Amino acid sequence: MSLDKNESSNTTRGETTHAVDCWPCGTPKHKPAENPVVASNENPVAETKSKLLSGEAVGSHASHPCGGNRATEFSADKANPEKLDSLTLDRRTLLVGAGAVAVAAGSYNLWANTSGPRASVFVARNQRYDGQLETTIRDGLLASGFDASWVRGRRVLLKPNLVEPSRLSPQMTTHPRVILAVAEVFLRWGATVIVGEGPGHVRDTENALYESGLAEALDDARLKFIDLNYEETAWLPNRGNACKLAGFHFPKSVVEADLLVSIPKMKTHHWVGFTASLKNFYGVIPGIRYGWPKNVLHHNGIPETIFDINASIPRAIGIVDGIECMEGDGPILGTPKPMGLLLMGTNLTALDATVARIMGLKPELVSYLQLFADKFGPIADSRIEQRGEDWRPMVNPFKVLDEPHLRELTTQKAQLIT
Amino acid sequence: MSLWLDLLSQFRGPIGYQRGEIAHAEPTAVAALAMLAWDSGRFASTIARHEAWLAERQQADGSIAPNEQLAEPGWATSWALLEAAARQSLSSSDVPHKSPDTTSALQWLLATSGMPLENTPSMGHDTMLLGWPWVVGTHTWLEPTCLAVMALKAHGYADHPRCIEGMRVVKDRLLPRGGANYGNTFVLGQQLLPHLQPTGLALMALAGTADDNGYQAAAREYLLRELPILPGAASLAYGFLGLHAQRTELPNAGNLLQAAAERVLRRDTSPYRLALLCWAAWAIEQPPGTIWPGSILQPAKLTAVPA
Repeated sequence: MSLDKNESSNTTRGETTHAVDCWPCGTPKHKPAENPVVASNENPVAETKSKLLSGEAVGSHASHPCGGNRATEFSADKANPEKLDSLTLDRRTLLVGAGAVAVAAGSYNLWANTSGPRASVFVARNQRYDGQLETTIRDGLLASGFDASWVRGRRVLLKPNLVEPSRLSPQMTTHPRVILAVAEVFLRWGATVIVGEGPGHVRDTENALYESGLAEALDDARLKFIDLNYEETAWLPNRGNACKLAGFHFPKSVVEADLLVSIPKMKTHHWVGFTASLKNFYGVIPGIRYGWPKNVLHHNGIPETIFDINASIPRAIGIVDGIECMEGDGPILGTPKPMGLLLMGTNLTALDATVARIMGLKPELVSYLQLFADKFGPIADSRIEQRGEDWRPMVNPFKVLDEPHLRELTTQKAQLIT
Repeated sequence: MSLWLDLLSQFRGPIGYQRGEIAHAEPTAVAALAMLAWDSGRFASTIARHEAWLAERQQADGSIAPNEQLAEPGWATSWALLEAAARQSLSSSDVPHKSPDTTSALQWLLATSGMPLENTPSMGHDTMLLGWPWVVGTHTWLEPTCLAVMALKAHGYADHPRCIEGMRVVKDRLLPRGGANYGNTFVLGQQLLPHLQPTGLALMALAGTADDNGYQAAAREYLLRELPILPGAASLAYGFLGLHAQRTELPNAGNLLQAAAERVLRRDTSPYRLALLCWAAWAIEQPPGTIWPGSILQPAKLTAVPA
């Protein structure tokens, strides 16, 4: 699949019309086409990609004249969040909440009950931000067993990692090109796509979007962005029960999504060893309820809350930006580590275990992966089917801080730094 | 000037962080502050609506809930107190209305503190200081502490031990290289990155206190270096307010604020961001050191924070 203008003019642009909602009001600027196969010259994602690659300025999206007075129907948890039976919920919220719980419960049990003892992970090498990422992602997801027909007409929330963006440290955050490429794949499959993030360390999400380079790209591609830190919330019970929290407040966009796509950056993490698709979902927890940083989670145990959040959210898959990575003192202060990889899979446990191995870490010793192992998926290499490239030749140990709690996670080839 | 008044006149009721989203306590209080600053008489009825909405958010313990959905956390209580102090000092409203009870709000604030943690070599800040948390039962962080310090000062508690200790927290969280972030300084021996918004808030909270180690000067230099790049609107507004509170001029501030407002209007029309910009734009016209409407938190003589 190519995204040059000639080819995009022959593609199914009717599929993308869901994604051009007005930011303030949520009203679609263009009605979804009844026939999804409608030729158009307009492909905002592809055009934005082209501009990013050429260095041309993006961000000319004009304001919408709606006035932004969209009435919200989403009422959720009042007052006491920890007692579900005391809540006053409207019918829609109940339906949404019940659906999300069912999906979450389904995803929790899916692997153990129906997928057998194996999961597959796709690894692609020689990837570049100016390359054909859409093709790689599309092929990789299909090779991982993802059913593309399932997403048609469904709501897909893309969750990049924008924990604390700095234009001086692009290795810290998911590259905009990867996010746009993932969006393009799901738009072509007929999904409604939005991008959402609740940065963990910064309250000014607008600034985070500028620093990461994502703001203008999203504007010009007319992709809707949701600030998950401040969106209205709904309380869902904790399906993992590894920590003492009875439940979590999740943003409306997370609860209503049919599919979450974790798009993390492949990075070391100075407390838990590394961060990839599972830990990235810390960013769906709203700061308005949990703070900046989301300290309620820390006080309840980082591994335990990573597990419980993943157990409680809707169905999720992962696509890891392993092109320009971070090693050393991640997830904020580490240094660039070029790897040229994209990794993806429908089982986040297996995906992250493979990421860890490529980084030179022992997944079976990573505290949060220990919780996921054999509950959400396999971490044993013998039970992960590799698609695309074999991970073994890809191993390129990341520098890791020489701290006792990290030293034990590393393989013999790892380089410890102070 | 008309741009800012026009923007404020659109806030007919409580506002949220995003247009079309539910209202929140922080944006609503900030908008009321901006209206009090620009023209308390003209906006009296709107301010009354904002205050009545904030009063409805007040919990039995005196705290102000963040929105209609959540009963906690209560960090926005400080915003309600700041707005109340400004309105009381202006005696502006002839419109009878309900407003938050400041006595119980202050009691809640003084009774609330962050969870101290044992100091360890891995953390650079003094983890035993109390300050204020985002969420009760968790550690102390920078922004809620800054807000609490300013709220206490605005209500005459500048000499209260909690307020003094809060200022120590803010000073403790400044980065030697300049600026502050959410509230960590060094982790595992490495100095962390500064952010604009918390740096601005820290300078607002510390205005009038002695800069014994030069960290406030370094923070001002950081803001002067970064704000002209035109960051997000909230970062710009807080950064400017922090500088102005410390009597430091940001060159071209008016144009920067206007450019930020135009960008907000073009992109997402966030009422919260526009309200912050309105407040900052009013402060430009005020004497150095004055960022608050009314007579609250007027520039004071330099005072040292006890170690």
